[in-house]
Amino acid sequence: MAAGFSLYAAFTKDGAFTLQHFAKAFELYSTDILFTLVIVLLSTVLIAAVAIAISGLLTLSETPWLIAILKQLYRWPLFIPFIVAGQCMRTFLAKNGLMNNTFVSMGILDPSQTMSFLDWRGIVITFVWKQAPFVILMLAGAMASIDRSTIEAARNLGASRFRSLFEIVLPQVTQTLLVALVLSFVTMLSVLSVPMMVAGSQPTMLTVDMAFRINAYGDYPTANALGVISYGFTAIAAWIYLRHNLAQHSEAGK
Amino acid sequence: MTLARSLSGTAMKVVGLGLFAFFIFGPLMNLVLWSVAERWYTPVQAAGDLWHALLGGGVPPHRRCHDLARNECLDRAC
Repeated sequence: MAAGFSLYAAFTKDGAFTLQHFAKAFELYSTDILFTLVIVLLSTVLIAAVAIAISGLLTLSETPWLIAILKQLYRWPLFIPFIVAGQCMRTFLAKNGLMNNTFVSMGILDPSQTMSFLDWRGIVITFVWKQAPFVILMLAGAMASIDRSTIEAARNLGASRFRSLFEIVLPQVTQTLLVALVLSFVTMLSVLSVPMMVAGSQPTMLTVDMAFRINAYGDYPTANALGVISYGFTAIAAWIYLRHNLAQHSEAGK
Repeated sequence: MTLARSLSGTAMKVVGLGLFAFFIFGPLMNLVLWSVAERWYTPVQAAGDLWHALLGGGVPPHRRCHDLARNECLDRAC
């Protein structure tokens, strides 16, 4: 009902149909719309890469101590709220933050070479840090449930671990990976605290613009129009997922 | 040769795991450290007051600065 009302309010003015709010949203925030899309897509790609690497290690590694430690390590950010993650990163990625200080004290960086990551890179790092464990959790679970004899057969026939991962394991868990990535995409699109805390400068993400329109101007129609644009992005992600799902079902039915 | 390869493989795994642990726990450790530290002195690698507390007390650096400044003011007044 709330979604329906915001959708109605985005397309109407004094009860009559209008696209005026969208025109205003595009006029004022077209850069931010593009910025949001690029940030979220880049984060999703990086999350996929990290999740495949870690899940692959957990499934195919032959070093028990490495698997045991990795299993304990990767889950921690799952239990951290986005706002706390934003605060953590604000001080960790700053020019005088813990990351740069550690590298300087280890002699890897000179103090003059340090730089702040509190911009779009900070948002991407925070999203990957926070969301990758969720995707790893789902993907590693799916990888653990596949028939290990297929992996062992590939290994016995001389396939490297890298090849086994990409040609045997991943094709069997693509569905799970896609679900996890679509869920992460939608979650990242709705986060307000991270772009607000990590990168305050322009351009920024749509959630910050929506909050600004409401808090500073009480401009609900433009905020609703921005919300509908966000729905559009998530609808595209859902459509890709459903299309893939239907294609797999029809292949299985043949 | 095999031993050397095995050792270098283990070393790479340890370094990779260390880096991964740093990027997982670094931000969290930083948050905890900042929540208990009074100030952070940029040339110093750890938060000033916490570091002093861990080393067994002593006068925190900023208090020492305040004391020196106050003494200098008193000297000038004299």
